Amino acid sequence: MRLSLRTRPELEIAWSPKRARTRLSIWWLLRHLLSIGLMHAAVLLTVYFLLLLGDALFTSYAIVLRDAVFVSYVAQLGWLQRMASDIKAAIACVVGLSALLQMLLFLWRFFLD
Amino acid sequence: MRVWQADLAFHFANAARAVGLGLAAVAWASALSNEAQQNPDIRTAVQVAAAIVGVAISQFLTRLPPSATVVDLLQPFEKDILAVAREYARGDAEQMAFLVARIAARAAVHIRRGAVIPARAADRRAWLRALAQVAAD
Repeated sequence: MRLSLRTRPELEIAWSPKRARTRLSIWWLLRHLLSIGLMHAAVLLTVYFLLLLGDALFTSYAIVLRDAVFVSYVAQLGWLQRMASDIKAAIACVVGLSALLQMLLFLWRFFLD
Repeated sequence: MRVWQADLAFHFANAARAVGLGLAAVAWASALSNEAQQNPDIRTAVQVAAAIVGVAISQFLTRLPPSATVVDLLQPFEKDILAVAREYARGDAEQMAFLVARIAARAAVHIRRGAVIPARAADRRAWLRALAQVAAD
């Protein structure tokens, strides 16, 4: 079977992002905005969990080496407790900012691309 | 992998990258302003600016998710598509170009309708052969 050259532009449909765009509905848009929010919540929880893990590891280390002179673990734990809320608030701010920017840029690309 | 899974993975990767970069920028700005012995107001302003710049740069370098165009999902299998098309075309270059386009278009339609892209290379080739068989008929 011999084909004419007119069939070749079909390749553009396959690989060109502009021509291959699927039908994008409001439902699709909302689904992605929700996904962005959920994924940022997952990232926030992951970071908090890692903080908790680090704190637990440090506490274990301090308890194990409680007799060592160079480990003033009481002071260190006090410092961690004082700083924890500040650090967590800063992390939450960065995550919130990231979610906001990702949603805004997603909407911008959705309407402009 | 289904399209919605690819979308979630895409959003999670973007979020993790942006948050990681933002936190690193804040930590860096905090350490620098501490070393420079700035007052707390300036340190806070520098940290906020670092977070905004870090996150904005990371987010600006992203694109639309895979379900906007399934090109991102199909292009990694370009070699498989070409191999199957070559197999069915039997040396005819025009037939091969036609088959590549048809296979890719049919694969895109199947994926949009919820088909799962086989993870194993052998299964993927079999799936593409089935699409090629329909396209060649």
